[in-house]
Amino acid sequence: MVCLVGRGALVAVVCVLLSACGSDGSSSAGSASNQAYSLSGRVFIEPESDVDLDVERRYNLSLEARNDSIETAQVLSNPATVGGYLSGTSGEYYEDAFGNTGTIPVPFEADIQDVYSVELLSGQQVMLSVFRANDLGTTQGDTVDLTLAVYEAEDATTKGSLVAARSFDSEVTKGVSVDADGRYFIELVARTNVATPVLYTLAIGQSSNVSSAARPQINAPFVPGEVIVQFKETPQLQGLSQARQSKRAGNANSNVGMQELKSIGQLARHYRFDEQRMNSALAFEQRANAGALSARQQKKWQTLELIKALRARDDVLYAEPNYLFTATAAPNDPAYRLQWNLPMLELPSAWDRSTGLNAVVAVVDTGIDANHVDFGDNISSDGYDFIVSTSLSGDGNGPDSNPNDEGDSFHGAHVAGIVAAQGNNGIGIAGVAYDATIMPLRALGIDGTGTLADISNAILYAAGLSSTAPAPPSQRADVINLSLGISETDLRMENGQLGGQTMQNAINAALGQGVIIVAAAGNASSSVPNYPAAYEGVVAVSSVNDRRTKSNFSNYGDYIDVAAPGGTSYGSPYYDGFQDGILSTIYANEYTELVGTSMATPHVAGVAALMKSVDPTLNNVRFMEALNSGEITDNLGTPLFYGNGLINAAKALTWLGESIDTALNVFPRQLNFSGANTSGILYLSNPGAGAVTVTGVTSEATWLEVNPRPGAVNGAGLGDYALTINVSAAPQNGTTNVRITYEVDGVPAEDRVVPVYIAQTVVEDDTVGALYVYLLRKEDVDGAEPEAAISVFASVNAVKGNGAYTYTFPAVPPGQYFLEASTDNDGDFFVFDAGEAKGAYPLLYESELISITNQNLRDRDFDVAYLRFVSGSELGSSASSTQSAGSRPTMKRRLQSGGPR
Amino acid sequence: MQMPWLLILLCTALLACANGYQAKAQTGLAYELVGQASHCVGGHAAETVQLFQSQDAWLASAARQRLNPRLRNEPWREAYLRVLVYGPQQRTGGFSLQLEKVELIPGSPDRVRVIVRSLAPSEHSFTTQMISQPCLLVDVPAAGVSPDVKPVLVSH
Repeated sequence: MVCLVGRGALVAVVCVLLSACGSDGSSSAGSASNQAYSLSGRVFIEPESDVDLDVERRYNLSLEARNDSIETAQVLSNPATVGGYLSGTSGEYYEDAFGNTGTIPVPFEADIQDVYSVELLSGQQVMLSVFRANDLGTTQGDTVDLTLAVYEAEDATTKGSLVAARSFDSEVTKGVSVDADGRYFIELVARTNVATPVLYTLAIGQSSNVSSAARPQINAPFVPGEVIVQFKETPQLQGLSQARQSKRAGNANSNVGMQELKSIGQLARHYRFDEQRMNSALAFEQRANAGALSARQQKKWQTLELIKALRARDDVLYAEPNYLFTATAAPNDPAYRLQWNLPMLELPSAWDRSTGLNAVVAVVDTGIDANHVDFGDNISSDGYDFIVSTSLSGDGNGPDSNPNDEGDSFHGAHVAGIVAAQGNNGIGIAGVAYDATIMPLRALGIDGTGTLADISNAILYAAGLSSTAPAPPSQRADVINLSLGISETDLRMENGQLGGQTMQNAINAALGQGVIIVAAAGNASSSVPNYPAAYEGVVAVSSVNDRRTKSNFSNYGDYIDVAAPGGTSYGSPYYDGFQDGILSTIYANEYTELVGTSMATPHVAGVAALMKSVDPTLNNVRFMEALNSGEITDNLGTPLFYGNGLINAAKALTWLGESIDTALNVFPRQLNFSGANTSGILYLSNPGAGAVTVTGVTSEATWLEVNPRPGAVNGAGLGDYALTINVSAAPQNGTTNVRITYEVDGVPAEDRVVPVYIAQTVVEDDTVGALYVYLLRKEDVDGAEPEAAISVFASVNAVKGNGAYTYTFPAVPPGQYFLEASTDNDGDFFVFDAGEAKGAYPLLYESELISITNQNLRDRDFDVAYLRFVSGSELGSSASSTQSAGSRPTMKRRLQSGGPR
Repeated sequence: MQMPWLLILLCTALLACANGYQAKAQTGLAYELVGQASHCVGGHAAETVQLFQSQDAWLASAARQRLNPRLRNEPWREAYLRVLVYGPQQRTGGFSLQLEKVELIPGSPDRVRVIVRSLAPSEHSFTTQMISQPCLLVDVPAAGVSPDVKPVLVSH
């Protein structure tokens, strides 16, 4: 059947088309060829997805009024991500035959209000991202005018007090949070007769965590009788006197029978329970149970009981056992346990061979607090302040030899700490190359911005070249870290040429000196290149989270060289042991977690310093060769995201011929399952040349399954293990362990135990509503005019099932196709819009051609998801301009076809 | 002869303005901007406003949230309420908040409205590549404010 679409009464024609082209309202692939084959598979939707009820059944192209008042509020689960549509007006856009502004009417409908009802916990947030629904080339005449309001719910249908409100007049992401547990109404209102159509995604409760549920287990390795405590009113944090600190600490001791061993910087205090108190715990609790335990286990059990009592106290922020870490060469820095990012790179194994001694890393940034106790003597006296503008410098003068950070973001100190905070000093954290030297060069001002001239001067200076500084440094930097950038869009000059030639010249000059330069890929979640990362010869660093997958914010593209941990922007607001942000030094001997490709970059700079320390001949050319060989990285797939993969310090030193000790490395050291998250990965590796054989990886709970990932575990049992929660059998809040048994060179080693924590939220059936799966012909894609819309070749309505949609194209002619799926929440027949759930086979950002030759194809499965943030690259652009993949970067997809379907 | 009428008209207009100003002033509060930061330090929080009525509550919350030390160390002032405003999360550094007004919401004396504006970095500047979140700190005289007061954030 050939379905031709007229351009006049578009709605009616397409309705007829969709009902005529398939028995279930879908269109089948054309009958242009006598031979045709089926193509089928599943489309998985992101957990916690939901859809505005008004558009849930929008296959029929008309809006419904199903959640437009308090009385009919749509109940959401928590967490949830909802896609929806609003417009204060009805009307028409006018397009031409290419999908741009023209004379053919494309109608849109009014939907003034959507109301949701949801249970929120104190501190949870509601984030709304708004996207223009207009797909035409211009947004002239469009008016975004939307309000998000959150109200307390007095009962199921009565609105209480206003909690907060946000207005939206452009494509942007904004959020509100609540300060008390309870049910709330979320109202989204478009201004009547003014607002033009928008698509939105509403994210509920994304930042919740399970810190309160986390409870250590007796099998975990820790020192019996000892505890690490942070009190809520930690005196140093509040500027109290030393006398008052001592008094408060003394009170704490007498209250719980603890002897203070030492304080851990400003982070916490380290205590030992006295014998009497330990015995009282045993007497008070169940002695019968304790009888089954060994003497050491009894002590550990007593310790856990006392820690449980401590946790219940109002004045205790957290209390935890003094864990034992058995990784090779683990430093004694007390906050090292919070640095999930370091074992991810196998640094404990690498530190046996190099800690960066004699390597110099220039940190071109906001400056530094050189007096931070955790920098020790790792700060070079060659630091310099290159900022000319006094309004940017905030220090009342121009360039000078004082690189002190006068701003308030402490970005430079944080970056420097990731590179080379002193390790094994018993204080705070450890840097990647914790004996390397930092050359702090100040070129970003107090607001975190900087100029081309100041940054270029700093680069030249670091490389020992002539700059505005009166003299070069006493020792040239081996590595330059640039956790800064500007998007290509902003670097373009009015004549269309790329600016920044001065910086490119400075970089080329520094590269000519052999210096290794690493730079941040950017946080726009975009493929638009960021500079200086995208300059030739610069190592561009993208960011991964604790699951070794792309951070939600990280840029991607073919200019990415390598990935490193930079965290997730959903991180909790303080370092609580959850693996979200990167912990490092800031100001006044303090520490905090920050997130971004800024944080990923110094990990690579640090590894380069480790290498330079053992091989002084290493230069940028050889370092890039090492990266491109894949021998100093873990292959994570998807080069657009990760370049050559995740940087690996142990492999980097092995590449230089260093001998790394045989050991079992386990990452992560704990797993947390919160909300609807029910799966995780455990990575086992051996960086050494000896033999590690894993003999068992088992769960200690029936509700947690552990299985080797097919094809990802080698003969020695090393590789990736998938952890899956059986939700129906799991407790609401609970803990268990994964136990790993293994041998080193044939000799059984002590078991490794990985704690697993769970805190579940009841989740309703996930859905994105009406979902189209469609094919784009390769020849249509290749032959399409720039800026033109491409008609899909064939589309089917996906059928929602248990946790996934299924689709079948019954008869596809031989050929090459791209396979995609999308909702069409604004009903404009253009799919793949920002704000709509979308995906591509096999990956959204790296789609591949499917060849239909002479047989049916099945199991072509892929994912769809909502975009949760408005990225800078999508502002003001056609909706699909940056989200499409591979060979069709700027095309709009028109659902109804002008050709065979 | 026309001058008296003009004077009367002028006086009437001035009086109307004064009355209008007075009515407006009744909802305004004599707030003071204590400090602000381009990043509040401590990972991600929601765009929100928090109000503290006691020093203990302020200190405990500031420590728990890992608030930027430059703000956290601002001394508490007796007879004032303290308002902490977090702006929206941003993809780079260089953003800030501008405080426009703090006022009681007419007809809702137990609600304090805080109005702020987000400011972006210059288009052509290089920025730090960290996820940032600007914030600001405001002190408001406690006198005349309901002890049950709750803050409402209006941002644009």
